[in-house]
Amino acid sequence: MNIIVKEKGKHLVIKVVGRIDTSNYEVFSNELQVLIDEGKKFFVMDLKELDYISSSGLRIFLKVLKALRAIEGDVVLCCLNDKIKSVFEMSGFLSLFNIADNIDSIED
Amino acid sequence: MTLNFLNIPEEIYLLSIDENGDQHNSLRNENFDLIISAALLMDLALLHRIDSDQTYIFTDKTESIGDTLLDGVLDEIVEYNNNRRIENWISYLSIHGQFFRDEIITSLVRKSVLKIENKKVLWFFSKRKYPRVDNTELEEVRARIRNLIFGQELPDERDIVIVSILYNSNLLDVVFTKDEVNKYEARLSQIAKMDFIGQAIGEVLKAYNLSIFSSFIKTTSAEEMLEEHVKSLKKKFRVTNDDNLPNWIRKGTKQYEETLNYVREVGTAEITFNPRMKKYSKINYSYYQSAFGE
Repeated sequence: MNIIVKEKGKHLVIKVVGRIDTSNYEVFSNELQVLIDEGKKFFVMDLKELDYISSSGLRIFLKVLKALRAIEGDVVLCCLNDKIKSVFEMSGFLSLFNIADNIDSIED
Repeated sequence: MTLNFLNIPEEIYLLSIDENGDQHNSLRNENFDLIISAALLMDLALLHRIDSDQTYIFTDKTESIGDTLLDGVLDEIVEYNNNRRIENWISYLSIHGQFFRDEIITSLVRKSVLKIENKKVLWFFSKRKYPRVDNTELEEVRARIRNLIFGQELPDERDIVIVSILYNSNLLDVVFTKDEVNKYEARLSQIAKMDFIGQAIGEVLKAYNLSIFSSFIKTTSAEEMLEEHVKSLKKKFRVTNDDNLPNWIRKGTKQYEETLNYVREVGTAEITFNPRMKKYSKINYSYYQSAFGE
């Protein structure tokens, strides 16, 4: 798994490439926590190149969403490919998040 | 993640008993074993000992948890050392159902949530209360789940698990009235989906109850039920010659007729006969072994 972080106005665009699974969900969680600790509140998760996510990975998304909304921030899921969108949908997680089709549609 | 005061199976058990300690009707059978198996897996997932996707369970950390039930299940999963479908783990683990039940009650008695009085399991405190732990009042799980469903807060992952079990096991009535279930169906359904193991328990229960129903349809007469039971005993104890069967299950003997009458009376062939007491009773596998001289 690779994480590529870019700023877009008030948002932090976090592109996740590869898999979030049993072997690396903790690393993913820790990296996001570092960004929260740095004071970042508005995450855009670019999931276009995310191939697979396990239950532990889904829980991290929920954990981050709770943490950011508690400080009046938010998480937007962006650029979901069909496979990952299906997983989020079947697990009921999709309806918790704001969704964007592409990065450009997100206001700075 | 630190160990909670109660594990998930214990919370489910407490939800399933009324003020007098009597268990919900739909749980006084093997359904409870399947539900508790799923609850154990879900607790292991919360404790990062297993992970899952929509289909399989995977091992994560393997360190002991310090909970007899959870560690026992974890050991089995680690020993299996291969991916297995979620529903297969639920079914496989459920063979330990009686042990799970006993351990849950023992643990809840040890934690002073329940007590045993005159062989009956009762709440320790008269009003469904949990004891204080470190001077903190533990909110009873029923109240916590109701607050979650009636509000708009993002769910805690532990409460997702509880709601998922209740919803997918048709046990919402232990927490909600029918009207409440109808009114909050969308929120219940949304939260219930958030756990893949919880989704699987629904399918497992459906398949299990269908197979029970099918076998009931197939063998409704006492003769058929007893024949099926004798067949399974012969297979289990490798008896090939009917002359080696005890009279009470050997066709053609006078006692076989008495056995049939007992099966008709109790509605099941899962029975045994004590030749010393000359008494029939519901099944006792340890007796069968001595009856066949093993």
